[in-house]
Amino acid sequence: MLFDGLTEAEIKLADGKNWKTDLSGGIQRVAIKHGCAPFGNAKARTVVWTFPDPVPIHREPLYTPRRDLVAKYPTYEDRKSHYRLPTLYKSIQEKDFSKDYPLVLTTGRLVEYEGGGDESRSNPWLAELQQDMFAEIHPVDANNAGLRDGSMVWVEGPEGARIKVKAMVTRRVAPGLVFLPFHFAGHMEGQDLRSKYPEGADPYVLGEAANTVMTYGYDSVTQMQESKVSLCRLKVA
Amino acid sequence: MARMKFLCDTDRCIECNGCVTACKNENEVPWGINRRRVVTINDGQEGERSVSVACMHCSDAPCISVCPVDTIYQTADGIVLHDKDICIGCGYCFFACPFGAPQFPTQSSFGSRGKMDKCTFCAGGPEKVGSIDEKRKYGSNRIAEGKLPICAEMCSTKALIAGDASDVSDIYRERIVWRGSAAGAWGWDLAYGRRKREQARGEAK
Repeated sequence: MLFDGLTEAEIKLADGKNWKTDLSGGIQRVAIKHGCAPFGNAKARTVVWTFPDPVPIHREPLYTPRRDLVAKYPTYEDRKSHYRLPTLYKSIQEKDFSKDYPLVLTTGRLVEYEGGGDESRSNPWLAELQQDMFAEIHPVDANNAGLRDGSMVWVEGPEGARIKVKAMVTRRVAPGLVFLPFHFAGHMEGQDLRSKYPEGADPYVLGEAANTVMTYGYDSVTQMQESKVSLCRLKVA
Repeated sequence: MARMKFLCDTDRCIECNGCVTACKNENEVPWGINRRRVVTINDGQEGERSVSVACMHCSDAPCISVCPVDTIYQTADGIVLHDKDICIGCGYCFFACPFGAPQFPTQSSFGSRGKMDKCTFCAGGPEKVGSIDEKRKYGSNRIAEGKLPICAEMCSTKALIAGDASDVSDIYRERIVWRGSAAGAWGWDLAYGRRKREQARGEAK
């Protein structure tokens, strides 16, 4: 029967929707129960015996608020030589930072900019559309930190660095999550470094680099930096 | 007689600002002057909608009625243009316009704002077609070249449609038929499904 296993309230919202558009969560829940993950059914087709994980498995991030998952999905042992560099994994994850840094921090792209942003922030037509480095903060977290939309905020990371950015209070992010775009550079911990650029080489728009507060962490195979998960706390600037 | 119009299909607009950037590039619009902009409502919430707004080239344009020096006029194609040589920068058109289309380059003492600038539907201005003066004051004249405005032509999801009002409404009407709903439907199947589009045209097998 259609909508078998959904509650009355869910059926009302799920009518005419599919697993992509059902906001009740019912269709997704029943699909998962039957072994079909709506967010992706990809399976590893290859066993790469030279990788630390021959088949990819979940490993909890180095800085995580979910201490219960650390025991179940621990990260790797520290490595003396990862492409000849000593690389830390477990010794960071062992420490619990989530008391002092309760918010999950993630970074990502803006449609206007590309990569580190130096080229696209030097293009007036693009730079005009994003003139400030900002942090997307849910209204609940903004309220807890005493922030208003458009005010300045210190985003502080567990490694001690902090950046001064504009607060964007928005429901684009979930409660407990802070998002930073990573296309900005030219400010460092609240200080404008425009004068350090060679003459005529400074982009129209400068801002704090998300990297300043982002996590230590490297992919176990490619040594690609971890850019998606860390922890942070917010302070009024 | 053609009557040129813009229409933004809010079920398709993805707030990429491609139209804004294309307009700035094509017409060499300076920083701070927004002939076109994308407005998002309910950002990050259920029912989020974005709409790309510029001069709507109204059939009965209030800016034309209020202009004290008759600088704004309508072409035979229904495009609302203005003459920067006559404009006194009083800002009446800005207050009359429901869409915030008229833009002013400066704000100085005694309320002087400089010559008004706004979307020209990529149709230049009163200067000689293709002249340097036309390009410098009003930007491109793509209409004279047989092209549509760059914003609509560049739109990656074809949310923004420009052209003769009857063609624009035909396109939008067809979309509504194969979505089975007016504005407010969502999901990729509804916005882009090929089978439904063919059904609407009576081409489905």
